[in-house]
Amino acid sequence: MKRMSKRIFFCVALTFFLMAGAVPDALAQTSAAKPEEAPKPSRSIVVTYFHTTMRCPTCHNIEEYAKEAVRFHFENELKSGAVAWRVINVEEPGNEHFVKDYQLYSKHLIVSEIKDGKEARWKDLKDIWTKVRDEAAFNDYVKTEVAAWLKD
Amino acid sequence: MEFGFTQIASVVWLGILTSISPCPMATNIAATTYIGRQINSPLATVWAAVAYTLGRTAAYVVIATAIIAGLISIPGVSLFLQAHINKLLGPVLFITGVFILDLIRLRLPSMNLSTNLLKRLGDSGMPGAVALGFLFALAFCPVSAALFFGGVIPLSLESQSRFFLPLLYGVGTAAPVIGFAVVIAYSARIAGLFFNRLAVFERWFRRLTGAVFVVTGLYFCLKYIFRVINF
Repeated sequence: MKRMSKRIFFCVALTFFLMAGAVPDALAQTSAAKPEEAPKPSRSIVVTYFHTTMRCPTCHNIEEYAKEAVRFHFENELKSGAVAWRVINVEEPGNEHFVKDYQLYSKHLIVSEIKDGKEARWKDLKDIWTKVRDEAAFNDYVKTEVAAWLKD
Repeated sequence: MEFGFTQIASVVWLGILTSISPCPMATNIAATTYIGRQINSPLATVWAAVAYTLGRTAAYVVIATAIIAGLISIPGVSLFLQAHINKLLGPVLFITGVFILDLIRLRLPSMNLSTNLLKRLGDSGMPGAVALGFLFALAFCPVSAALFFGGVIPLSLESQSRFFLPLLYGVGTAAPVIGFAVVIAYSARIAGLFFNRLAVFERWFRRLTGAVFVVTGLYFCLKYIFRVINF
């Protein structure tokens, strides 16, 4: 009986362990598999964090701060689809063209304006690298840029 | 070629910012011990620092010149260097560390040219420091790539400065490392003289340098070749 309960415990633990690993993978694949999915409204601002498989601590901070800034300041716009947040690994199959499209040479935060499903213009927020040491300044920078693009 | 104080201050600051970022920390620690290891000769430390800076600036000037001349594209060179030089760096640092530690004393007849070069890199002297500076500068990580290709290159293009602005950026990237190396070397020298054990201190500092190179080499191998760590 004891052996049986040990086996059950082992199976449950293994299932949880595998699920814990699989869930983030599934989320990552979702974001990578549909990189060019057009947002629903006729005009929207898409904020994309482009990265490679190998990432440094600063690169993780940039993603974290940018995601937080977009989520915090544009909560309603995210719900309505006026603003969208994406994370794309340019080393995954099908995403390589982004390197040429946006002239990527490191990790980048790109803001794009999508009109009727087509990209009208885009901007590389280059100052993320000099502001990443100051989270408040970084947050403010992303907020100001995205807000300006929404207004235009 | 038109640039003023603002551009000069900007590129030096970008260099310092690159150097104090966590991403090139491993190579900076290796460079610090390498420059400061000859504690019995303050002049040797200064020359090693100058040579290391020279190596770094040479790498940046070469890349900037090639980009401004239109020979290479920014994404192409940046992603290539980030992907490949870091892979090369692991074995180079590991083998150099082995030579610094004197773990291989015999000069084997089968020793090829590249191994001989690494042995020379492990030996003291200016050529080794120049080579190390050049190699470390080429080993771009995301932070250095972003600040160099996104900050220094646009400024250099704007003012058509193939030489001075990239050179000053190189000086900026080397400055904190040199500062630490000189302070550590002089402190160790003073301590060695105080305890009348300068030779012993120097031997231990050399061992520390070798150990740092071996560990850093292993770190780069695990991270960039085997991809088993991601920090």
